[in-house]
Amino acid sequence: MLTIFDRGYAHTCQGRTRREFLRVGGLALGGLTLADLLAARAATGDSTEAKAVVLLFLQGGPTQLETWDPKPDAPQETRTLGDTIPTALPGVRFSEHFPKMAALAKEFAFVRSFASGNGGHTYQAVTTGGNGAKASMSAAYANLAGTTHPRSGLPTNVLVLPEAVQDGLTLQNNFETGALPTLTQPGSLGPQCEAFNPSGGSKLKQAMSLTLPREQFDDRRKLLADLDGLRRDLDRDPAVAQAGKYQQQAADVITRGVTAAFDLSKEDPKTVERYDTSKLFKLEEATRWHDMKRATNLLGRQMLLARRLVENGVGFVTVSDCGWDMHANNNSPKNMEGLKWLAPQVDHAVAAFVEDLKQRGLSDRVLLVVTGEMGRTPKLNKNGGRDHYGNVTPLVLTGGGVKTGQVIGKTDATASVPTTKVYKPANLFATVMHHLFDLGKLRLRTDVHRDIKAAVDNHAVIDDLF
Amino acid sequence: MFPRAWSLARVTLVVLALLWPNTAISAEPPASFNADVVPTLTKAGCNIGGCHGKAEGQNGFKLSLFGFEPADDYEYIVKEARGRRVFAAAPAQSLLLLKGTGAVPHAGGKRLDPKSDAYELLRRWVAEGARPSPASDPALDRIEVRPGSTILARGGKVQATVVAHFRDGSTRDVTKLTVLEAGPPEILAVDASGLVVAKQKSGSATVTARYRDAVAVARVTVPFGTSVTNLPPTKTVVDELVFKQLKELGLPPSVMCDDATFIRRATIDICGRLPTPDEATAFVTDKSPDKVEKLIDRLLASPEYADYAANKWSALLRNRRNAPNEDGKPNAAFHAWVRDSFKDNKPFDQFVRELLTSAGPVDENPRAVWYRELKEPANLAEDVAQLFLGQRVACAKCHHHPHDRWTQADYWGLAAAFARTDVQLATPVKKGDPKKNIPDTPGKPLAVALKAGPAMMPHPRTGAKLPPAGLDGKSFVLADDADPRDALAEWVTSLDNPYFARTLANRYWKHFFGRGLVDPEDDLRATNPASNPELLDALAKRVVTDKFDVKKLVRLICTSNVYRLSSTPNEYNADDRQHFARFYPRRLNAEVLLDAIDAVTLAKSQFRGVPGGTRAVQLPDNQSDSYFLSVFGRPDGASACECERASDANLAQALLLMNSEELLAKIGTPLPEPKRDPKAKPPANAGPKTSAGERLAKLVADKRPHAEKLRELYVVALSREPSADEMTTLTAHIEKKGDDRAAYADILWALVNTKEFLFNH
Repeated sequence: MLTIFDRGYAHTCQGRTRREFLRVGGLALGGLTLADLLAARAATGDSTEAKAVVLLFLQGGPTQLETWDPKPDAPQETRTLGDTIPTALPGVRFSEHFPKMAALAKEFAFVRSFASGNGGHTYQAVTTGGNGAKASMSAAYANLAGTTHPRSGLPTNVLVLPEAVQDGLTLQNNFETGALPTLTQPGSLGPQCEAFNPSGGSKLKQAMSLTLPREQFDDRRKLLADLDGLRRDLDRDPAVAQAGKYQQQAADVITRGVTAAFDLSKEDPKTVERYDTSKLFKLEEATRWHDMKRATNLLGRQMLLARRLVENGVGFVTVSDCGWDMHANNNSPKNMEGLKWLAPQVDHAVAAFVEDLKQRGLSDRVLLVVTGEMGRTPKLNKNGGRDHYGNVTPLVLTGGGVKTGQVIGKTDATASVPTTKVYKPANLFATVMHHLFDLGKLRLRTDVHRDIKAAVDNHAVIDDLF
Repeated sequence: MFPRAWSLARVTLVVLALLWPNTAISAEPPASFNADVVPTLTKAGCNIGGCHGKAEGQNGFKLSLFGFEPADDYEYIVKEARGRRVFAAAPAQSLLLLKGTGAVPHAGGKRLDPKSDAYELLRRWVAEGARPSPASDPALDRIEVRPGSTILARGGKVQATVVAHFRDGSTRDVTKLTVLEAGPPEILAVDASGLVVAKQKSGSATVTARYRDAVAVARVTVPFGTSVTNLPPTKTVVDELVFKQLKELGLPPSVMCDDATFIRRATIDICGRLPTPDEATAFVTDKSPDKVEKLIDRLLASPEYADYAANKWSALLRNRRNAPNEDGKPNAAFHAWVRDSFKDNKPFDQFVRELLTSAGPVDENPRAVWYRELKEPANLAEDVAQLFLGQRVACAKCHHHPHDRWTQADYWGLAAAFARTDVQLATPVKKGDPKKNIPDTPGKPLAVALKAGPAMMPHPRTGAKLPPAGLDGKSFVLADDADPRDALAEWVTSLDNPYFARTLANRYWKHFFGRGLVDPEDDLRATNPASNPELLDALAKRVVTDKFDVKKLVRLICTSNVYRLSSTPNEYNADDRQHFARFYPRRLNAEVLLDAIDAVTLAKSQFRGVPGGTRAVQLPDNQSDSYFLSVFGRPDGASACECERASDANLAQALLLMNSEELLAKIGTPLPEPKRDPKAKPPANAGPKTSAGERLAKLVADKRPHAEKLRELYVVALSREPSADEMTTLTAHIEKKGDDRAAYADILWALVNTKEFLFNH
């Protein structure tokens, strides 16, 4: 019973109607094998097998000048703060904060001509690429690939916040708290396509693993389905019907025993150690600044969880790393000193992730995208900070079969504007979709939201990447 | 080669044209910078926040946001960049036009068609000398969209005209210069020329128009076209005006709900709890014609009404702590003040006056908590405007509000009412040193005091000192030593304030119907009109005649037959989300749901830091640690918006209800021993302790027939008895299990997971 309706649910992202669910469930309780299921899945022309994306989103707006497009020779009011270092790519330099990525530069594609075109903390401007459905790429993935994985039962679209890797962690609120839902917003694809957020420590993880004997749980679900079925009139309201879809998805998560995928204690301690960033800086130093209240030193563990999840079949993981809004006013340290905490952490966590993917043979399957909602003003403000700026935005890609060891595009002498073809979030959206799906087959599918179809039809994949 | 004389004549002509721009070139009046040029740029989208309108401009060219500062725009366009943006001698070569048409590379693309009237107007203005508007230009008074209200069939079309009225009495058709928007998009569209087209869905829609700093709205009704013959009797003004609209729309309402559904609905909405079985049975069997009125009055008189009102308003008034170890006494006192105010049915205007004028240390003045959270005059002003006047003025902090009339002067004038307010934060006790005979220096409690000096806020652009004023722009008349907050409180709550009563009426409408007549409920701007303006007017009027009596307002809404409509859609109104043709089901709020689960399972949630037996609805602030409550969207008290309470469903909620140890314990399911390290500390987010529910044991011990016990259980959870089919399903389950304990545990689990239980429907 569970399997077949899971598939139906997974396929359309709309869920079966209650009627269909009951009919199929009644007929097929226990009668369907995994092989049948996979055959059914294959017959529907699903092209999502094994491809995955990890989106590391540097929230607040990462600086282009102090990351991967430094301008050490620019006039003083613009010049990259701190030193720059050579990389494994001849003639290419990074900010001093990224020695590990510099050494691994041949493993990445650095896009310097990416512009979010967005001067505010509107994460959705990047993650949706401006598609008409207002759906983030992660939600579009869940919509097209299904919200639960047919084998593992895992939600296919997961948001990894720092709270997901440390039980009982409570971060304080700032503007990023409020904006957070827009990072994975589902738009008109429906709330079930929104990323699943496994934060909540032991409580949610406990609720994800079956507590009752399986038979008893199934009994209860059957009883619930029967009782709800007698009040089917209520389902005619969309909000009520939506709650039913979550119940189906929850039952799926519970019965598949997926908790282990979220549990870092199942990892080899040596691996945890390799990723760990918690010793890079003291958390309190950063979080006493208002704009860094959601910054943590847990990015390494977040990236490790991302790897663990994609390994288990999650197709889209959004990793949130906050605190990059470095105006250097009283809300963050002068002269963007906050970089000394956040930048080396990204350097370490991303390098560890890339090496790990390689060792595990996951590189081709998994595309890592590192970006943020905007870049920062080339001209330093009076506090030595940089303000919001949408004309240049850092973008780094690796894995997923992209051609690495290259720098795509160029900016002018002050990193103010790309001097080569400009890529926009809509191109990033198309690029990510190109990696995840066979776009040719996607066009033939009749269940694709027209705005998502338009988003991949009307915008080119970033040149030279594939 | 031209003869020299000819060439000279040409030069002379150009010079003449520049000197006498009004005569030779065109018979039309000259293009006005303020009245024509800036609106044209606005309509072309040049000055939006994502382009040249943002603070730093775009690629070196800045315009004021939405053209609200035309004098600045004149500087930017004509004088900056060494004048290369306009070129009177060859207007078409002006950078303004070359960029706008995309003739030279323009990151914003092609915004102007060289064949369009808009292009011609800009070209002509340049040709006429690119003059600023003369001071004699008449000032704009208002704009109007014609027709102001119209009925269109699906697919129908009508031409809208926007007329500008000037202070000198003149009028002008400015349709082509006006930014026009229509919505909801599935019902209505409008093009740049003002042609309004009804699409394929029916409902109420609007066309909004923005010209310079004026906005106007026209209403368009696209009828469903079904004849409405099934209207319930009209009891109150609510029924009269809702049914009138349904008739006009041709949208038949659902039937009336049954008594069990109604008492559950009203008890949840008014008291934040389920009805007791006795209450439910009494109501259903009551045959008196005024039983609804009696029910509503009884609920309003109960202490739970005040509990639930305090739950609502405490969050809106930011009664919060940042950490669980913060002293909770001020929050408890503030919560008690809110609760007592609603218990005593303190007139709402008095409630607001007491809040706005409160002073003194927190132990005498618990309302200081609200001041502590807001602290700055600007924040206080924003919350006052949003909470009590339904105005989101925050945009006007930095620039003219793009969708409303508020200017920066309005914003900072309102803020000036708090310019003398001194929010003194608590200071801790400073430890002395007994060895050196230095005693402890006592700390100071949080307090609200009055600063010396005149209350003024500087205008951020002009630097002008703005005295305290209401949003109507009239400065308060103040004695030298007066606290300007007194005048503010008077103005906010005065009978002629057009916003105060409407905002209260609309907020309570939303409370009971899940959607405001204006939605969001605290955004009552002209460009966001009510779905039923007549009804909102009528409610606001009643609020005033009833002297801001909140219980009377609740009674007016809840005794209507509209509030009694079933949530089950008929074949016409399933998509309706704005006309209240049926009741829109809502998931129970976090606190209400937790209490309801406790009521069904007879478990007790014990929260830290509050007396035993405190229900979730009664919690004083946001810091009573409960994972359940946060997953179900309890607000954090961090904003003045009811939207902070998340009411939508998500996966984590479903997981918790189906499988959390907390829920299973409440039901009484024996759980496997947790595999925890005995030396480890309990996890930080352990949340409230929960006792095993007693319901299961009671059901097992109860020797009555199953049918009787099940009837009782259903009335507890759903305020109704099970249907015959349900009874068959339930008894079959008990028989199949052959173990009462296991069977009833299953039934309790299923019951609290049914959608009927989870929703107020």
